[in-house]
Amino acid sequence: MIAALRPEDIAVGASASFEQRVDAADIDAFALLTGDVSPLHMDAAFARSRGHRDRVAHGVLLAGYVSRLFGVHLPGRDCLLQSLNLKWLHPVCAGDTVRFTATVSQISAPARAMMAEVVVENAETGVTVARGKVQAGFTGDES
Amino acid sequence: MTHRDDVRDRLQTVFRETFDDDSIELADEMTAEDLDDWDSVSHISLVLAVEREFGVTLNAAEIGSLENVGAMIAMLRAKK
Repeated sequence: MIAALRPEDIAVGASASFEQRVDAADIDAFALLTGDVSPLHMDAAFARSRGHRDRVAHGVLLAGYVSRLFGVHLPGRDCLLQSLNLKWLHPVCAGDTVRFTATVSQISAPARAMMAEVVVENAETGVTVARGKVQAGFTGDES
Repeated sequence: MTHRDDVRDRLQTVFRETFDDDSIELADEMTAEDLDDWDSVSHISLVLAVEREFGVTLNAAEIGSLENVGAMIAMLRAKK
């Protein structure tokens, strides 16, 4: 179900959230798509030798899920991402379940745009693994 | 410092942060033609940043009237 919120429907503080398990197959698919086959992502033994629990998910794979947060949930159908500023604080490894949350911090109906804070947490530990800000515009009829 | 100078200085900070360029020196007659990165998307970023910095909400007519820096300063002075 894709939301279709207009600027007039959204207030500061509105939020949306979903959880996503990141499996090795997801990391494989992203590596195939982008060509980023660094052993940190592809080789569990190598990742462990660098101090990680398992293969590390590409940070930009997480950014892709952030895109889903806005393009599907808040505001959904009419979203056009205009900027994304994301800091990766802790690695996400294969098998981790991650919670993505967006909270609107500014909305301008006349400018057809909004700002939102993004928090990405490990759903099992509650540790924040990434955070950032997004500017999103609204496409379509302005009526 | 006059109120106009204060608004101009704060607006200059907004421009520098929005366009990530500390060399920007505002002039009243400056328009989008004078900054390579001042496109339609960055204009929206600028509007949102101005609202945050000055604690104002701009309506559609005000956004449409921001044809140059001098107009922005005049509008912000009128709203405060």
